[in-house]
Amino acid sequence: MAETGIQATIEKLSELAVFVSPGDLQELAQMHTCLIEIREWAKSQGFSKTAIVADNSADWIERIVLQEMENPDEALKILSQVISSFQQIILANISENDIIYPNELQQKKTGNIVVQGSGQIFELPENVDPEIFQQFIQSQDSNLEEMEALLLSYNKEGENKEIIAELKRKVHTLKGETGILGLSDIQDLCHLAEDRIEQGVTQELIDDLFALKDWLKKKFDAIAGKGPMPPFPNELRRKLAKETRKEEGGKTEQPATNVKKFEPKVLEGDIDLVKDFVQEATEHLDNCDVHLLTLETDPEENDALNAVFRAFHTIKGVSGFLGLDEIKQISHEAENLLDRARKKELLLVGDAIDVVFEAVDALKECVEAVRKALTTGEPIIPRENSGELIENIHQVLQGKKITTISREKPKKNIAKLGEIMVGSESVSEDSVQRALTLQKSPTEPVKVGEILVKYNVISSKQLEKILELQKNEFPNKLIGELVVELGFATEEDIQNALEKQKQSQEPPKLGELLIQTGEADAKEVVQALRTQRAQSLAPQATVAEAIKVDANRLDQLVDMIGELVIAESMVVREVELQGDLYTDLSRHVGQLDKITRELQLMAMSLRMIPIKSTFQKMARLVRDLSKKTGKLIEFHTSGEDTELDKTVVDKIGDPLVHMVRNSVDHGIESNPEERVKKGKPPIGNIYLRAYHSGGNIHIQVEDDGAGLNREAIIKKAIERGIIRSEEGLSDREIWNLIFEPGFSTAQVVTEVSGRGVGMDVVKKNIEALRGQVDIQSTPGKGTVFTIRLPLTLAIIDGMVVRVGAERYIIPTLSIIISLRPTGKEINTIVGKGEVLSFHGKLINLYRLNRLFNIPNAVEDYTDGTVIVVEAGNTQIGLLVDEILGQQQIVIKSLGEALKGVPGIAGGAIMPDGKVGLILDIAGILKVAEESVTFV
Amino acid sequence: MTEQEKTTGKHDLKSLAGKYLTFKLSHETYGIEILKVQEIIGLMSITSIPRTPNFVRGVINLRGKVIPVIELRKKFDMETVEDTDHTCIIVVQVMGSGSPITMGVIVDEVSEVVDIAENQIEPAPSFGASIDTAFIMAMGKLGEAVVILLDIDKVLTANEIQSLSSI
Repeated sequence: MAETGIQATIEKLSELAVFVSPGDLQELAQMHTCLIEIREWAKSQGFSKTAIVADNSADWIERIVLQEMENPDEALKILSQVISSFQQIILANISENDIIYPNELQQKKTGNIVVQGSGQIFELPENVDPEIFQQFIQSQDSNLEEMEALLLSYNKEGENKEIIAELKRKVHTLKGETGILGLSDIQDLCHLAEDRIEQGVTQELIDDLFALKDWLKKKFDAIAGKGPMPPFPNELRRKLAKETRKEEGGKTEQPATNVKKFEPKVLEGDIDLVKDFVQEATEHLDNCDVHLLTLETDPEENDALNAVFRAFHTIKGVSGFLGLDEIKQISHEAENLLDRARKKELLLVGDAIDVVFEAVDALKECVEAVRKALTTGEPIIPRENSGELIENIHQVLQGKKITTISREKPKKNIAKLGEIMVGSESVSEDSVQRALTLQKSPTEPVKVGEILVKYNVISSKQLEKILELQKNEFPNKLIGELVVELGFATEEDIQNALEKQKQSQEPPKLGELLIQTGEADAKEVVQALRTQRAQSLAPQATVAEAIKVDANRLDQLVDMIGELVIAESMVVREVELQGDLYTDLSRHVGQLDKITRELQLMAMSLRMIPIKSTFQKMARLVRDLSKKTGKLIEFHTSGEDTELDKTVVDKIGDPLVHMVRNSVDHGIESNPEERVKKGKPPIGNIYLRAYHSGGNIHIQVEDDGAGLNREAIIKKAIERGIIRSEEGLSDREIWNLIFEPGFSTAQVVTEVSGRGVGMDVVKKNIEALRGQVDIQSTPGKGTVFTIRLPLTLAIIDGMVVRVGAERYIIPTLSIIISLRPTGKEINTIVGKGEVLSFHGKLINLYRLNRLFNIPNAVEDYTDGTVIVVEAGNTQIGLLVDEILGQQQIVIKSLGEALKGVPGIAGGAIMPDGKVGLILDIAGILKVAEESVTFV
Repeated sequence: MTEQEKTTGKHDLKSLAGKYLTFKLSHETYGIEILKVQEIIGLMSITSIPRTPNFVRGVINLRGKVIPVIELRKKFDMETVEDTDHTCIIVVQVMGSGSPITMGVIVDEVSEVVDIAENQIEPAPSFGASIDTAFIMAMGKLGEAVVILLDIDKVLTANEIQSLSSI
């Protein structure tokens, strides 16, 4: 039917082609439609060349319509030739390979991927699907990151086979993929690298691989349009090539096995087809499970048998076509087995059905591996024991008992039959208990004679006779022998009977007992058996699937949920105001409240990502720095999985770089002997930790180096006029001096640090994230920098205060204490500046109403509340009228127009719908300092 | 409007023809290009922002978004009056540095949307240095009445607010 449709289309198209002229818009539009149809048809038939030509032809038509074509008449002439070629393919069944298409229509569209580098232009190689290419490039970022992680872990743990194997796989995959995609320079390097890895990994090679990774990163970035195209690393290539082919003979012997082993396979061919296959195969296999369960209870159920057979057949066909050998082989063998069953040559019981089940499980694993390979782009990793499975199927086919069962069934908690039956209320727990005791108690072996009678080999009369004979005349002879001697039965019958006798000695199955004792009927037992089977087949853990979402949409969603939370809290307030606490409405509102809170939490978690990637960068940094400075340093990380808001993770990198640099350059002693003298190990340690604490995230950079030099800092600070003397300064205040812009105690400005820019940047960046930095340092022992960050940037805990008619929100994080002064602890200085003695210290006191010119506010300290807040390392007291309460607040920007307002960090929608302003304590401090002048 | 016209502040009078939302400040009638207007809302409670220029009345919550509100009378140095029932906020989109900014403008009273044709437009008068007319695009004549066509981008530049706020 599809064929006739396409025939009609091509006929119409050729008619149109004869009469059309560049001005006939309607005809051109029709031709366009026809060409698109032909393209789709060609795609479905696998005529890739034709599909491309049809697509390009359609484009030409479009350009003619848009009058972009330089010579439309000529173009139409070419098109009509092409259309007659199409006619030949469709109507005369001529192979597309025998057709010669005009060259200009055979080019694949590449326009969207050509990228301008610095003078160099990257052009997509021919015959490469731009989509696949793009996907490949996109996936490289994370791929290279993984590679770096591997290289780093090698460094730490020394010889590690798994890492090397994984590394080799990565390089190999990259080689394969870039080969397919025509990136021959990358392929070349990867090839060399792979050879080198095979010959044994040395520290030198690891260094080269780091260099390779860096170059690849630049290269891929350049291709993606994110930077200039790096020159080909000739030096690196020489280094990589140097060692290659040193030892040719030293090949390791493959362990001799007669069991077939499958090699890891790189996916090739049409990825879309593979995707479809994975989808389809999964469905088929799921269906198989259902049908196999039916077959287990009724091995001759034809519909089920056919269904399973068809499933295996389809999988075999497609996997063979796609070159997925492992899947093909397994399904092929299983299909053979099922075919025999279909022909009634084999009954699907016992081992036979077991291997089919096994085959289904194995195929599921294989398909899963393909799915994984699709997403990661790595080669498909074959199952361990597919070869054995195939062997097993062979044996079943040959009627042998499987002797080499070595399957490692994953250990699952499969519910016991009894439990299932009790659970489904088919039997009571007591009956199961009774049956179980019965099962345990040794059963008397059934006598041979009885068996013979039961199977009508001999009659009961004959048996009596034989027994009598045995008792009286031949007490030494066995019953069996007598039976044969008397000619009642053949020897074979006796053998069979003996076999049966043995079987009957095995404890009967629970299900059978339940049926026998009449506790349950057969149907219920079968049902329970199925449940049991289904449980053992159920996937163990669902792999968390990830969907990539546009960050903007995510932000919008988070924003909307923020709105929802606000709207909800307005409703809640309204209900509370009405005062009916026990009505339906308030209960419903309570429920709504719960849901919105959860929604909000979830929305927040959407933006959370682990800090791992940033930590990894630091590991690399330490490695490079220790090389550069020649210091021996071990780098330890913990809490890499701690999740932070994405913005925070992105922005925390910079400050961390400075802090880690500082630790390496200034912290760790350059002379190992110096360290040993102080009783420390010669190798320096730097620890990077992330953890949750008190609703905040803490990130710590710790080194066991020399510690901060108090004297040097004080000297420098006095020199630069930051302080007058060290008197009255706490350790903390002194340490904080290093955050002053341009502050550096380094005698020498090294390549790494010492210009005094770093710590200034650290502090600024962290404060921009609404975090704080603390320093602890012990001379000779080391220094700890602790960064405290809020969990999320969007929501803060705030204290709502009132000043006059205005409400302000003070972030709880910066509040130290609130107090109601009695008046005694307040002193004025020259009648203007006011100070509050607080914990034995004097801190400056400011009136918010004066700073902000708010009328009608409390003027007398004793009438109001003083809130002691901290910004940076300065504490100040703020006088407000009263505290209204504490509240979670969604921060809103005041917008472009008002972002510079001093003392205001942002706005928040209050529960009554009005806007509340969030105070920026650091800003207020500035405002306050400007407003008070001591003249 | 091309880039050049924007920078020189001179407007091609022909291109100014179109629909305008007119409103009143005292007894004068002003017009804003209808495309710049997002919506008109009644006066709602405004949170004042400390240490900002006096013409910034504060911020409001516009369906979850915090937007600044400008008092046009104060901006134009006209005498201030108490808010009345007619006082309302016109929410406009102005071009900030790069991205559009949503702002509210408090006016005495919103009148109507009028169509102003090419021949009804006259260039903005010049009063020398005494009165700044940079934010006036042109004058529209509707019979006897005169509408002052405002270049709202110029009235409320983000830079201006920022620079003033840091004083």
